[in-house]
Amino acid sequence: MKKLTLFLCAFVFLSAFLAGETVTLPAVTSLPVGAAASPFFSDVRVFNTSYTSSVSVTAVYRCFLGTCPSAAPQVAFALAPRESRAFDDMVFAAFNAPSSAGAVEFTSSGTSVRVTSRLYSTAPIPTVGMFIPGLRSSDAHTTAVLTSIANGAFRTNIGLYNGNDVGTVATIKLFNGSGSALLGVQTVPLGPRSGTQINRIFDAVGQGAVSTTNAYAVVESDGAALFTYAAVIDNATTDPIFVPGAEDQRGPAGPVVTATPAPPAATPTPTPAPSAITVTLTAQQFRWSFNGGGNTFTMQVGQTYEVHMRSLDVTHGFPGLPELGMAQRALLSGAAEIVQIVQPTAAQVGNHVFACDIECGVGHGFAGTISVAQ
Amino acid sequence: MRRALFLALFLLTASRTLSAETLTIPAVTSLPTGSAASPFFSDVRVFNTSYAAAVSVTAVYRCFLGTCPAVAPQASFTLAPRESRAFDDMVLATFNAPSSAGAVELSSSGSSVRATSRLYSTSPVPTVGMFVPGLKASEAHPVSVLTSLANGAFRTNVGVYNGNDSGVTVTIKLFDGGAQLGTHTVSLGPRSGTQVNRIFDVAGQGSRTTTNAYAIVETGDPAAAVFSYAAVIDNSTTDPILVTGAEDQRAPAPLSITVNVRAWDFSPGGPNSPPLVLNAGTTYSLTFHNVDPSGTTNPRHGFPGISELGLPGNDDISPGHDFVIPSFTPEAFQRGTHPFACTREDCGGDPEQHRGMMGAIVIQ
Repeated sequence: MKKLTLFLCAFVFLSAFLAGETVTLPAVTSLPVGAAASPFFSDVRVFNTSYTSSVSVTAVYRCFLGTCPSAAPQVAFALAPRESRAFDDMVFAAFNAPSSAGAVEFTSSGTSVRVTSRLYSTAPIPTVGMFIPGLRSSDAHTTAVLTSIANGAFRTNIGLYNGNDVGTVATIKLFNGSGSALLGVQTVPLGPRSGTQINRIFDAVGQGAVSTTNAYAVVESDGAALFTYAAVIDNATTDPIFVPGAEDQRGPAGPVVTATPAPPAATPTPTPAPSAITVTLTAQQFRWSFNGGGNTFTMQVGQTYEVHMRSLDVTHGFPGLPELGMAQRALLSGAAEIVQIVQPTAAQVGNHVFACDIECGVGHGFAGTISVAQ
Repeated sequence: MRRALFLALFLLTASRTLSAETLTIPAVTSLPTGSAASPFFSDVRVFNTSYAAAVSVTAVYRCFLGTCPAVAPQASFTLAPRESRAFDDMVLATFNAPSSAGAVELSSSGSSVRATSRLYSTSPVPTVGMFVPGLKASEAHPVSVLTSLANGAFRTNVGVYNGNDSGVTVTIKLFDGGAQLGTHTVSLGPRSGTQVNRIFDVAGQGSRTTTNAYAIVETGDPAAAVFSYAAVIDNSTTDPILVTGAEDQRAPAPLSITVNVRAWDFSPGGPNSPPLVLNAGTTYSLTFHNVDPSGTTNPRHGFPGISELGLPGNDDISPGHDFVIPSFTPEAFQRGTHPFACTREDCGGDPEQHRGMMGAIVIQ
């Protein structure tokens, strides 16, 4: 018995000592002037705490927004004892992936590597930015809470990164902190080693008019631990702060959904109503197209429509039309179709305009329209 | 045996459930317009993750900069399940301590509380600020490293908070490109802290321009853990980021090497003795010690220093006058042979022999 205990202790100790560690920067970007409303860059520092041993590090760029390379770029380098290595504008300079955003995973043997970064903008004033720490796997959670969230004088973007080798579905629930009122829900599918950022989360759940400095969001996955964050941005200066997700408790089961989340991409296509009309909506640089034609489509009140959405090139973003029950979706490059069901009512008659909400290049922001007619 | 195991497990679970937790926001302030170069404020949010139970929280303001109250102000409040409580300009509105700065400790039973904050300025542009998290006790370290430090277009302030009930001495060492730029030692009282503004100026390196420096924060007592942070501020916008201290390793004690110096040799070093061989990554303490036999004419020698290694020099290595370099850590990029020569032309009473008194340090 004693031998077995000693063996187990030695095994646990050795496996912990020898195991590689991955430190994740959940948000990095390189958006030069002209590629987005505001230019953004990430300066990264990687440090070796050891006084005696060099350490080999492999950095892999997990791009999921903008113009992503077809394969994940990576760089390998060695850090001397106590060396701090600077990677200014890392996404461009180290990974040659301008006009894109994503996460970086730094993998090394042992636990001696520390990573820090600053993500900053050079406009409208040079410079304003936020500290983004390198996160350990224990900083990823199946349920996380993001506090200090604001809207009105500020805006809030919520980001998620799935560092697992299998896809997952995450649900974001937005609350007003003063009364714990549920403002809305977003459901997003995340591929393996991929992520997304939902810009202007209050707009995305149809609460853009809410003014608050004390909201919070809960991010729940279907069991996978995710890195989560909120970027809370002063609208006057574009100065952001980075709020990392803190471990939260899983809520009791119950019907809390107010918005209509669409099924994730990984699930089978839902069975439409018998009379449903199938519509394709594709995005490509830089236009929307319904059924391979123009960027406007007319729906009839009472008719059910099955809208199949996908990207034809780089990653684009469907911002959602909450008034029609359509959720925001990232249309990932090369990903399967995302299907949403729409059945317009008389109260929804009119034009519903949407625009790409994920930076996709110089023509980003292109718009489309769903018109609802009697 | 099984009963004892169950009892131990029960006690472990119960103690974790019942134990109090303290979250520390290491930097809060309320500096209104006119009381400082720039006004700064802290908006704090405290959240209860429980869906079922309210939680009582006691917030204590540990003021250590500016106009501090005589007694640490505190506020107690109860958070309903899933409540997020807002404390805007907390130092003024909750603690009535304007024109001051410090830390806030939020203590509660259990571990359901989360705290976040934004420390921001309203001038020169409204607003720019930084996220300051509520830190768990495990995020305090006896030795921590602060990376992403900058000077020139930026400035860097380094802060330390001692959340222990006894005082501690803390040493801040500033590095850039592998070279140690300076050291600053501060004594911190119990439940107190400090912020060293413009750490590069304090280290006598105010004119240095860098965006890749780092600092080590070490306590004198290896058992005492402190919270550390760096505020790195863009000088043109005053926009700060808060870099939290990450756990670091304590530097190994320097390896002592004595170089015996006599006419006309450094041992080790040369020319008669083998070179002084040092390993990159190892920290050394070098002592140049005179061993001229009695009766030697002009028993005085000099070490010129080696600039590419950052080693200083000294012109008086004579009986009773050792020259000590207390700490030198060669870096990998310094690998190679670095020659040097005695600086005292009259050493040993023979200038010609002196000219041959050349040695070398080999970094491998």
